[in-house]
Amino acid sequence: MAQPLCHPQHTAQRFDMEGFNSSTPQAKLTDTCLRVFCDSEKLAVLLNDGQQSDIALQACGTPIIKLLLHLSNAIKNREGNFDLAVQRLDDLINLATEKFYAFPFKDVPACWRDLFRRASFLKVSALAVKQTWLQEGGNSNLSLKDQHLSGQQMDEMVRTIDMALIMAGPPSSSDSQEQIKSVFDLLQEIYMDTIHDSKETPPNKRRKLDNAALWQDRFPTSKAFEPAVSSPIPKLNEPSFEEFENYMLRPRDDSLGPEPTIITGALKHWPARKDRPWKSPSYLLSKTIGGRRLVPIELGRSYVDEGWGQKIIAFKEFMDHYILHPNSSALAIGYLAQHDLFAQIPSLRDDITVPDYCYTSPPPPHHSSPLAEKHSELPQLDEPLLNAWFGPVGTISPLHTDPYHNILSQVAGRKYIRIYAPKESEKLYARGVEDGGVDMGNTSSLDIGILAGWDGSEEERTEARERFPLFQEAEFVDCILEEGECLYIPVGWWHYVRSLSVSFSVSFWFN
Amino acid sequence: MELWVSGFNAWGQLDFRGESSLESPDLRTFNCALRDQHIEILQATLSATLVRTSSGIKSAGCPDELIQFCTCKEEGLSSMAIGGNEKLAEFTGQYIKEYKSLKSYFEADGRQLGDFEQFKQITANQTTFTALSIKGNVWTWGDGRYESCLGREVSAEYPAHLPSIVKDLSDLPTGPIRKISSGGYVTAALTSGNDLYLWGGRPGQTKLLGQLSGTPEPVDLDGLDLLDVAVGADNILALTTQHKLYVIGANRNGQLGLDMEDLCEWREVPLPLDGKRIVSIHAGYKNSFLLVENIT
Repeated sequence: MAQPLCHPQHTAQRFDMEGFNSSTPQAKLTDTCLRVFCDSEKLAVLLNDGQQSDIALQACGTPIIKLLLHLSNAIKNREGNFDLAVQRLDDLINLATEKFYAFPFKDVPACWRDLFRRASFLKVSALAVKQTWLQEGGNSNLSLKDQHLSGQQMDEMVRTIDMALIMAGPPSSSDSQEQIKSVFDLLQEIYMDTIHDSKETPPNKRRKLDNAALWQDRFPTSKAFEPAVSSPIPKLNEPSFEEFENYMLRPRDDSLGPEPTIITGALKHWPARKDRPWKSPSYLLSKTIGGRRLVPIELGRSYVDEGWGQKIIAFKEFMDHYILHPNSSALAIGYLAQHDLFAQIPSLRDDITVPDYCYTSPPPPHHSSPLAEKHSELPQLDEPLLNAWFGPVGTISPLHTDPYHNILSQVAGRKYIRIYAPKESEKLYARGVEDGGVDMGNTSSLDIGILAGWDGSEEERTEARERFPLFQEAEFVDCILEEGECLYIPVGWWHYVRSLSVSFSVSFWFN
Repeated sequence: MELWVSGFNAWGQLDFRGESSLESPDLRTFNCALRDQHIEILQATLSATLVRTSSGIKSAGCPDELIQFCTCKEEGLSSMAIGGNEKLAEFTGQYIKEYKSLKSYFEADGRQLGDFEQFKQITANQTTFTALSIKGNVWTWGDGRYESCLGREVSAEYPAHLPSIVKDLSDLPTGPIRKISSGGYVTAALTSGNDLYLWGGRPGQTKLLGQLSGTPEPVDLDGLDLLDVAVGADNILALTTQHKLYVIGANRNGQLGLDMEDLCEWREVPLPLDGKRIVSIHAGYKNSFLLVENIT
């Protein structure tokens, strides 16, 4: 008298299988996309007549909301034509992009940013269920939980979310930010699984991987010109919190205020310098979903040069073309500069720690700085501002000042740095407000490389010296910042930075 | 008369047969969408098309606020134009008034730009308004960031945001301007002698036309005389006096009516129009409209 439906073992098995399946990152990803990004009920509310909501999208008008709702339902139920749904989402993303150009940046109505994000996340959801959608059309028994994302699908999904975050900005609600983070985490997990799986491939495919493993997992070395250090910056070995605070508050010379100093030994506990090595290209690629994350890079030698530009590319492309093989083509120098990489990829943030020194109370901007008043007006930061600086040999940050104290931490590679005190400002020819209304007052007109005789032709050097006669009298200190060292740059001090190898630094701004 | 259509159709705005559908694919070639004794295109917006026929007003797609308003008024509101930046401008005789948006227009919350000359036509692209006077003068104003779209000098005396005459379009060899059309970042003007002038462009945008600049330049289409012109969001249509249709520009949504990639050179669109001919052309948001008549 078997009663299969009530058989306890049977029930348990079914439960287990479901439990197992829904715990795969793929299943979780699909679930998040369909539950969060395809929330048709919330969209439908916006169509109710006379109902005013605080959801920005509403201002896009009824036709756009109707289309989004239709697409959201189509994805949820995997109904209709997959390609057409993706095309319509692209059409809406293009429409929003057109609006970004039509309005001055600060005036772009919030609804178009909202539309850009929503259409992008719907597109990611459509891509997440692509296999089952296409299969169901062909009457297959492939379940939602069995599908595997292809590399191409992952490319497109990561690109779509990152573009939305870069172009439209992150959503304002912290819930939405968490959801996006969890989608990236799941994609990262799926990617790590595929790497893991590929290690268990049959022997004939194995050979290829072994060859790949022979590839040296480090940055290329190059013989770059190395400026001689003429007025070395003094070093402190791992000062305590109090020692460093005293160093800043009781300057050697009151007419200068606190001076730059190199701090050694402070980074030795950083995972980024040990078992999660940032000098390993493969580690950095693995942390960026196989190099799929998009990053903004600066192109050209220095941001004051003619022809300087910015573009958004996949991290892998940046690594391949600009870091590992910078000479393989006629490409300009590419520099991932002043980018909050750690907000974008929080797991990299775990590889470093904010130096305690950033939590000291530094003195206010020194009175000798012409920008002191402007810098004093900045509000007190709750937390230090982190930025990543990752580039090949030969990147240059022209002589400039920053509005915060800085602990520049050298994780990988070396940099030549030259620093001028604020009191030298009048010999440094600060630029002003330039064409297009951009205030370049924090940037000097001087090209240190040419004036110091490292770059340019003899003619250019002579011309520059004649044009900027006071430069020769300006006093400076300089150093080569080595891997593992930090440099304290006081607020308002002018600095010129030149990479002597592939270099990865993190700046910590504080006030 | 017949209305032929091709291009972007996300809301079914090219389908006059009945219920609008959100599952409509784009049309890659021109098809006849409507037949009537009389057809006049009143408005073509992002999501809907409004036409007047001998049996009254007909719409296709999903009506937005503008289409609803035009439907109520039973007219195309041809004395006003709305830019991609949502600004609206309207002329009344020789006056021009500008509004921040359609909403401020409904609230009558506008700004008088001044007293110029008698106007007969007004157009807008993403950031620029262009108005044509009865005498044939072309006036432009708008966002100074896209100076090329103004087709004229910008100075303290002639600021970007106030209407000023495009001097390069005065005293042309083939007479004064008789029609203007605008879309995307491009504006076109036709002379009474059937020559076409184009200007505009946005830095960083893929070039639709190599020669596009801030100075209106004549366009040579195999030396042909042009009857009509229509500038779309990212494409241009031109109709010759021989009633042949030429197109150029983006074709992602089928707006060129040719089943091919984007075009950066003018190309004729062959159409099966036995005993009929195109009499006027119109560009909507990434879609195109042709009015076709029997040859009598």
